[in-house]
Amino acid sequence: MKHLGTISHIGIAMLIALTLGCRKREPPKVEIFDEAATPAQTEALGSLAPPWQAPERVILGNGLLVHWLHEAETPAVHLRLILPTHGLKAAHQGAPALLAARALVNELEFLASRASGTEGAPRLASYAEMRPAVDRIEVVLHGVAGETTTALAVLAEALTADPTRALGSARKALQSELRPVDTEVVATSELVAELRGGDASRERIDVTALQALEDAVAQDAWRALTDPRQALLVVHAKAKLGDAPMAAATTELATRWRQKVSLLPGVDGRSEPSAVGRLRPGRQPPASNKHLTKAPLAPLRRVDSPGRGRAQLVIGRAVPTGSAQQRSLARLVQRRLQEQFDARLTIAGSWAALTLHIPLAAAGKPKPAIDPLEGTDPPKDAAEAAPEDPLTRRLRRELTLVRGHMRVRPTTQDLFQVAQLWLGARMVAASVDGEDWTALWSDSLDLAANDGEIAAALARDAQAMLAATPEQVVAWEQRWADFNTSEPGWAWVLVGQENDLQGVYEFLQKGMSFDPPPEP
Amino acid sequence: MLVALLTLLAVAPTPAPAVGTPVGTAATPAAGIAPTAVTPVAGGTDIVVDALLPCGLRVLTARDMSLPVAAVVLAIETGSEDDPPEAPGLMHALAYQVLQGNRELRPGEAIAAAQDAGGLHGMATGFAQLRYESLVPATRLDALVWVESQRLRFPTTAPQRWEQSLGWAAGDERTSSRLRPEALAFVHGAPGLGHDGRAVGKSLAALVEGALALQLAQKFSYARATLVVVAPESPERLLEKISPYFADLPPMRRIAPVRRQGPRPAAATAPTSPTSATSAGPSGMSPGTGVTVPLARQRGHTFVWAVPPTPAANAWAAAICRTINRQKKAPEPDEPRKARLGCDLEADPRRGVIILRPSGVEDPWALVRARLARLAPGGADAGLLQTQAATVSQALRLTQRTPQGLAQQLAMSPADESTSPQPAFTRQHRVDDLTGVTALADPASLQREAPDLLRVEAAVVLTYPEAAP
Repeated sequence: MKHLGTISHIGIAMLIALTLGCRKREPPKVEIFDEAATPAQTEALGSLAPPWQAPERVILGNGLLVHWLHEAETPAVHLRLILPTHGLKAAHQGAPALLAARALVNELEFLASRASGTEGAPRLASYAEMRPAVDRIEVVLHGVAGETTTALAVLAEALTADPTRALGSARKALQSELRPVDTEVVATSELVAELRGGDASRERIDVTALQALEDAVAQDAWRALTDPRQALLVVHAKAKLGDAPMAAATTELATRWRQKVSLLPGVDGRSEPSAVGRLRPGRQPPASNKHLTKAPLAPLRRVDSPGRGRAQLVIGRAVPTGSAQQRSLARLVQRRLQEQFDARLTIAGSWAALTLHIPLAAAGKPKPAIDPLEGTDPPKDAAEAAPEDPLTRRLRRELTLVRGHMRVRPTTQDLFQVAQLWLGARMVAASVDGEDWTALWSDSLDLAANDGEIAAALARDAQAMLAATPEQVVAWEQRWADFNTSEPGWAWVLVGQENDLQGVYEFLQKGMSFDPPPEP
Repeated sequence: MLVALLTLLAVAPTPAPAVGTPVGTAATPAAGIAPTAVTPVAGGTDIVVDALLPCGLRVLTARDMSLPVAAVVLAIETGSEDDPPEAPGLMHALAYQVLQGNRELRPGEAIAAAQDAGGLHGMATGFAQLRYESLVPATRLDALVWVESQRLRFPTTAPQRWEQSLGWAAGDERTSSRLRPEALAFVHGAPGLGHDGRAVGKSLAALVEGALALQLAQKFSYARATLVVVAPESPERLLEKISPYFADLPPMRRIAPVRRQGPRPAAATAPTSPTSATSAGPSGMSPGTGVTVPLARQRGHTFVWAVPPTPAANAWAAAICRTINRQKKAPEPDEPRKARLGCDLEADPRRGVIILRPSGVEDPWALVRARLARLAPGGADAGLLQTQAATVSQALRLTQRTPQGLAQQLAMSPADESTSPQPAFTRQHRVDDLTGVTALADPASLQREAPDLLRVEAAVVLTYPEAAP
């Protein structure tokens, strides 16, 4: 009986072992991304948008969301791992998150250099790169089509490896790569913090923060940042996700890369099914009721210059970009301003930051049109001979110019050219950069209000931009961009040393003022 | 490494076969790659339509639908090799002069046409070809084709414009090469290469308008040019779109030169090579080598081969060079412990060279011969050569992946022989045939396309010109 019992135990153990060993790994259930119709190929091309078909989508067993873009004739493969940072604990944001992402890049390059090619194709080279964006960091691995499964295996290996060595090398690399904080960085980060209601130090990363970072915090940041339940993997490949080798490779990735401990607040093993939901913070920037020219006046912040760069004034506000038309109008206004001034627009889903950067040293000075081909360089002596006005007067002149530029009604042809230039340059830049569709998909993510809109976002935005009328632009400018007539919501920051500002702070504290119109 | 290789291939795109398969006619065999019989496939992405227009312009069109962008390249078979002896650097400066416009184009309009639409415009000059390259949104293709149809029509010769062009030309970097110009001219048997093609001297400033107009008419003609367009539309449709823009030009016989290796001058008469040329190595070294001339930039022996101007030869040259740089040293006594052999490919669409620099050996001929023998079929490194050929092939495919990369490669396709009758034609090729990818897949094609590259006897050996005692 005892003997029988032993046999029985062995039999059960073997049965369990066989069961586990032979357990068939279920391939992930692949869906086609077709909530909203993808524009037809000719329509997309005509709209200066990528002609991708509805991609495949799957949530892997580890919670990783995968968007898979298939292009039959591409000889390359691009894996873009998008890692949100907005959900990280405060201690892990900024320098720790950047360090963790850089470590992942290092690990990928190290492992890719050791991996061997598959499918009979010689492995040329893979390279990894990192791209910080709003509320996320993107890590990209580029390779050749024959190595897609190898690249996925390398990704799995990198994400499951002990990051200690990679974090060490990443810290050294970042210390040499990070640009010293200058006036530009301080001004932008202070303004964005003002708009978002956060701490400015979290909006910029400097070497001292990196040096002060403890190893344990870096390790925690790595684990938090690389949580597959919050990440999005975008693939641009020749193969389809549903193909057997790819399904096996992604299943393997999900099996190996699992998050054991949740380091994200509010995440208890759940995974958000939507890409937009993963990448966007749920909260909107707090609405401000401040103006620049009338009460209630936006408080002007003055920050000391870090010692590099010249004094500058940064003015900005949050603008709504929830629809294709809103995004297009905001972009058109920014591009028109950009013709004369340093105006920027950073879109993050349903809102965007519109900022205007005015270097004080150059404020109010005429900007000569120089055309080297025409040989029309103005004589240098003429500009230098004129006596210079006080800085406050020049700044007022500059602000008047900005306001005046915004109030000029554009022609339809102007708008068409602005739109063509923006849309065309985006596609040309994407082509020169190697036609990596995952980069354009990342742009699409910023433009989409929900997952169903992602595939068509670039085309829809392009169509909306080309269809914008001068009346719509004027109305948008009056409502959101005109210093006098716009809705409240402005913020401004002055960065520079006391001596460089020459009374500008006191001048602006009373509110923005403009040159009077010329006498008739 | 990939970036380096892609860069290498980008500047050394591979020329194409001289003859393909005319649509609707029998295939015409020709030197170079054997033409591939292609069934016309409307809208195929691996098809290149190749047409010769009545004005003498050759047009190559291909389709790329990955993004809504179009690449337009106007390649003119003119380079510093065509400089008049009394005006070195003329073609390089004239390339800038063409940017100054004409009766239809204001100065810089060709550049603005691309850049105002968010596109890119560039110019590349070389020994035997210059290219105007544009990458624009697909919606601007018509405007760019119109610009290219006007660009070469009587470019301005106004003195102030010429002065400005000379200033731009003088600002360009000088060509850096491991070979002296005289050595390059000797290797290719092309005396026109024996000078600095980017020089800007007083002789250029002294040229009168009439002389400029004559040179522009002769050397910057559509009959010497190839227009390459890669866009999302089908190649046939693109050709239909392009042809009318050139229909008003007068008929002209194609005059694009084919840059074959010319006869090498006797060393005694070669420029700056007063000492002997010999068909044997110095005493004690392996006999039976090729020509030796004292034109090296550095001490020791430099083995140089001219790369034939075909796509396959250029691709194979890249593969051979990569292989040589990855060969493992044979154990002693076959090779001394310090023996080294380095290879450089100085890529050029028409006048490329392979350069081998042996060191650490007493008999450089023996080392080069032994290493090259290992690459031959059945040799110890034949497999390594095939691996490198596959690597080059992959790099070519990656370059072809973008419209700009594909257009640049197609622009290297050599023109047909100008001596044969050439009525206007339309024919088709496969992309891989024009870029050398097909040839790389066939090891036997190396012997057909570039048989001399593995023969030490075919090398020109450059030695350092020792001071006479």
